[in-house]
Amino acid sequence: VSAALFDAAFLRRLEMLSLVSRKVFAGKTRGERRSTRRGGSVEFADYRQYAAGDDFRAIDWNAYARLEHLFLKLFVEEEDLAVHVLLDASASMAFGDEEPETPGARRAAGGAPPAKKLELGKRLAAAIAYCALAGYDRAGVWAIGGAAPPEPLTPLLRGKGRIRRIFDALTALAPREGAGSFNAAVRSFVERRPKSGVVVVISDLLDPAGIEEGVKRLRYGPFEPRVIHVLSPEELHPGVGGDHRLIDSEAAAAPVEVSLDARAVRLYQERLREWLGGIEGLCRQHGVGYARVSSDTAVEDVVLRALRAAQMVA
Amino acid sequence: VGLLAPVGLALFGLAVPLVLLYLLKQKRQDRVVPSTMLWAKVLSDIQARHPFQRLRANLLLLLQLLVLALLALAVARPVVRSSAREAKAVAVVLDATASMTARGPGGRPRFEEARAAARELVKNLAPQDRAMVVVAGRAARTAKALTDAKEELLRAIDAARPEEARGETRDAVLLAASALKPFGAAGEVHVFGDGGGGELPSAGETGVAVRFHAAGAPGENVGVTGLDLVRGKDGRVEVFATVENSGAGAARRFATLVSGGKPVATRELRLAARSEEPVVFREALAPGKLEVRLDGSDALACDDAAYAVLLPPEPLAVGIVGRSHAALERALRMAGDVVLYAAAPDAASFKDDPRYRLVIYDGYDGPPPAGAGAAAPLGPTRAAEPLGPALPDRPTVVFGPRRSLPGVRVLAEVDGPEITGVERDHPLFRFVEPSGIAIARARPLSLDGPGRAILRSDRGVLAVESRARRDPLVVIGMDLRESSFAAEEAFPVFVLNILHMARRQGGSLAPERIQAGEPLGVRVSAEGGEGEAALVRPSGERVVRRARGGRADFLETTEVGFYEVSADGKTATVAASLLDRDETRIEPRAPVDSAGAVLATEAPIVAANREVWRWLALAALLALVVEAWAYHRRL
Repeated sequence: VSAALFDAAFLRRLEMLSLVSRKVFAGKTRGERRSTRRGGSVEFADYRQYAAGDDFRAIDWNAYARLEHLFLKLFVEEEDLAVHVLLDASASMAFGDEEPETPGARRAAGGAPPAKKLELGKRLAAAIAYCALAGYDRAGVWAIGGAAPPEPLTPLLRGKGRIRRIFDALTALAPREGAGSFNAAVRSFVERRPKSGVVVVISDLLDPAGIEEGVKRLRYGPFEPRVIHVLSPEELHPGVGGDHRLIDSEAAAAPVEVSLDARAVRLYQERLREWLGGIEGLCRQHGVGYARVSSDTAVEDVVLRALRAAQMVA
Repeated sequence: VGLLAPVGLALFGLAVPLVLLYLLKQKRQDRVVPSTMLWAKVLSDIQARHPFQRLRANLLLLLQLLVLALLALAVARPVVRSSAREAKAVAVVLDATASMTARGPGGRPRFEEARAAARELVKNLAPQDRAMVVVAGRAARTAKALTDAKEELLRAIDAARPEEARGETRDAVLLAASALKPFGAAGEVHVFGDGGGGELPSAGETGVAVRFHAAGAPGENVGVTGLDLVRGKDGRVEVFATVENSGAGAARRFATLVSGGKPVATRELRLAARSEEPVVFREALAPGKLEVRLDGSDALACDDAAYAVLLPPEPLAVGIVGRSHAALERALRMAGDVVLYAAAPDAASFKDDPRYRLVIYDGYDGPPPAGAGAAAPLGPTRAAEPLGPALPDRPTVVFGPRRSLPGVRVLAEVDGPEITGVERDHPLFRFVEPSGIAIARARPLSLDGPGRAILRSDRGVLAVESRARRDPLVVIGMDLRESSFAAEEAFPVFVLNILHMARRQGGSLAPERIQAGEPLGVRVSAEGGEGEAALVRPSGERVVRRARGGRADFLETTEVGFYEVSADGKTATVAASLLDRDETRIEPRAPVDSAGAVLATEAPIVAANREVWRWLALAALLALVVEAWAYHRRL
């Protein structure tokens, strides 16, 4: 991942975008987000009675004239927003660059060049981080997935100039070995008490244990989670043909012997629809933003269309 | 629809291992996927650990079973018929006489043409039909008895070979008809030939339908149809040959006399269309092989030469017993090289006197009255004995017998019999036309043992050749004085034929000349007449046979050329020639039955029973292509 992969026009469009946050979080420094704190913006927030030591420049003299009591005018504080990008770097995310085996799968892939899920994930993480930095928010990237616990690739950074560091960290990110649990990764992330804010999860969510616990932990903690579900074309439209012994890339389960005939693929797609519907329903039920993208989709399309449609950016 | 080879369906048994292959778990290729989570949920049935998996509807399996079924059906050679009908019994009669070796314009023997048509007929038979194969060569032979096994019938047809001999199709048709008689109207005799081979039996004689399938096309042919040798008083040998042009155009040929392998003389022949010319050579020849050969080639090869063996000069002694007819004596004297004796009917005297090589009984009524003098004394006369079982052990001819003879029963006298048929291939009636003979009285004959009826009349058989003893016995049931036979032009020829027979059989190992296909009898004295005799055919094939009763008969004389026979430590050469006008006249013709009706020629056989194995094989190929396409498209 490098800045060169994002052309100037795309970067300008990213600068015009803003991450949507329904929750209001207390920021660290001044920014452009409403904060839970009262501050010095021009937006009126409340009144309170004057107490000794208050800045008398904030006394509402009109109210004193009418009520003969001193009231202080309070204004909304505008601070920055912490944006945590949790990028799944498990072994399963390293898939997606195989040439689609049949013309049908190629058509289903939209004819776009094949791309690894992790590659798209890195670009999405970079784009979201840049979007945040350009909006005077702070952004940090975490690597989750694999047997290892979540690892912060960068601390929360502020300012567009820091995007290079994020790019470098993402470029150096390699797939993490071993099988891990999404729920465990989220639990570990939360236990490290990161700054409250928006959490964007970029993952294929291929976890036999499910993701419900992790999603709830984020949603009902001091975070506003977003889920970007990345799947490869061969996962969405597996090719037909051949008798195979399917081996899990993360060695999370025993191999499965299967003849990839039309009937088997049809059954797979039924199960896939059922699984995707379950994840989408879970997110909708708990008010978690959800977007599903194919790894062969261009990152511009994902950000400007899919994430906009999912009201993650505006 | 029927099957010519139902055993081919066994090929479909391969479906069992094919299905087993699908039931067995295949060896699978390892493939790493992001996650097996969904596959494990969906395809738990595929994960079953049994060696066999549940047989599912699989397009590839269905296509492979279809290919196998189509191939098995094709191997079973199904035939399709337009309509069903009752079972038939069919006899295939293949004309295998010499004229069937004639080659057409394309060089294809007409026998091959007849064979192909016969094959087509057999292939068109319905499965419920039965058929037999009869080969009509010199003798009628059942090549395959009635059967419904089409393959065996086809093999029998393929194995049939034409002979370089004349033959009678009539006998073959009668043989076939006798086998089909139980089937009544369902029986059919199909004759495949060129219409030669004599007349066919009438519908009344056969009792079944006879159909004729013509083979061959008209062609040019010139052949030798007659050959005789006469040794003159000056020691020279006169060779008389007859050459016939049976073609529609004039022909110019050269006839060459070959003696001992060297050409001796040549005559130019200019033959008009459908004509014959005599050729005479008068040469001083050494005893041995003789051959009259025509130059060039034509449609029929086996009549382009005639063969003979010239024996050393030796006068033939003929004993005449009874009131010898003057015409008989005159004819015998005309033949030359003959010494006549008026002999007494004393068997013992013939045994003692080796001079007699032929004995003719003519007008002999029994023991003559003492001193009556039965005939003019031509030579030494012995005491008379009744004509009885003790006939002389020489070739014997009896005219007008009054009582039965060994192997021949003499029936009651009849008045005015009319001659109705003659065995033209019998050596005694060669070039003899007996139909004009007027007979006042005669005694019909009946064979009591092995032998052959030669002359038939409306009142019974009038001439037979008995083979009840080692030497031939020819009996003519009419007295020369009670018929016009002795006055006929053909009578001297008949006498010449008698002399020829005597020369052939009179004490030698075997006759020196036969007609191709004629049984060849070899005298054997060793081991009490039970020794072995051997025959080497012109093609080099050697046949060994054990004799019975002092005689070994060889039927393997269907080639023209020189045969070598050996027995008792002696060897002899036998010449076999075609010498038959009917076979030389190769123009195909519609046969006539004995009632005078001309048989219609059947239309060429159309394959009504179409074999469809080619279409099935093509369908199997297409199914295989679809299977390959489905495999690659991973349907």
